[in-house]
Amino acid sequence: MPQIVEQIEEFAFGRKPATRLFVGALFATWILYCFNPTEYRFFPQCPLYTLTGWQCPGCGTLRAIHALSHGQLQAALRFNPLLIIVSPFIALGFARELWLEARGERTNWNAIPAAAIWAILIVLITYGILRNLIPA
Amino acid sequence: MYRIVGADQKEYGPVSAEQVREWIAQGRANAQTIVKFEEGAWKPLGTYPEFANLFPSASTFPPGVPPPIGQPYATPPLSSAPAYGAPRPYVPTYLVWSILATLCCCPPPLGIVAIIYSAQVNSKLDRGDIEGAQRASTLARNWCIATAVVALILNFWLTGHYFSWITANMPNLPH
Ligand SMILES: [Zn+2]
Repeated sequence: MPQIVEQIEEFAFGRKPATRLFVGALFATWILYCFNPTEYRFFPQCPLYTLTGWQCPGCGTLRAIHALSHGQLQAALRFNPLLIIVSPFIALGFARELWLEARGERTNWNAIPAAAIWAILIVLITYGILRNLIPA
Repeated sequence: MYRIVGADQKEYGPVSAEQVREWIAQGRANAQTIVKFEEGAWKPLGTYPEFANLFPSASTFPPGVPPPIGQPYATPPLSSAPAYGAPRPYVPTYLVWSILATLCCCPPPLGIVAIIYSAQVNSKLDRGDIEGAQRASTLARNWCIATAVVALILNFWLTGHYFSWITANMPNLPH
């Protein structure tokens, strides 16, 4: 059993995680470009939203990416505003990580101050609460 | 093969024992450089018997002879501080995976726990608590995996639930 966990770890978190994540993201974007998540049923559903009706911080991500891949920025902003606002930074960070990985290096995640990680957590939770209080 | 942490906090390798010997000879690695052999733990280079004879310090011990109490491994004099000596190892934070777990894999509380452990990895490293950081790192990884598994199970269950919900609420939807 621990061996299986280690194999999963090597696949997901192993030597070139950003490259692997990038390939996965490209494939997912292509699927989302071809199929509208509101019309097709094979897409994952948000358990929180389905069970309670509350939107989690990630709700609307698939619809937003679908809208964005068709150039509909306003629709994308409605589906998941935070995702669209931070997406340029995510793209830059991703590109930087891919560049580092290609040269056999990587970001030193230990250099990120713990306070910054706490800030990310607070932003996510605040956003998750606010988007349920403010009707879009 | 060996993995080695430089003074710049970056991980190098995997490299051969030959390469490690060369780095020791060049003064780029010393007894306190943090090294990992295969799937073993991160330990100071001085604790590896295969390199022990390469350190000039008088406190190196022949293999098999336990070091005196209070001197767990060879310590070179301060004056010969190496160019690349490493004060601490790299401990994965799994931060990206924790955030992805929070966003993609509801229920959110599970992913949030992963992010909290992620933050603890770095705060514990800053306090010099390497073992605690490694424990937090393992927990962050396990909570990421747990979140993904729970999300997968919930989705298999919900898909059926969702089908009937759609047919009940949106009769005009194309079938
Ligand atoms: Zn959601």
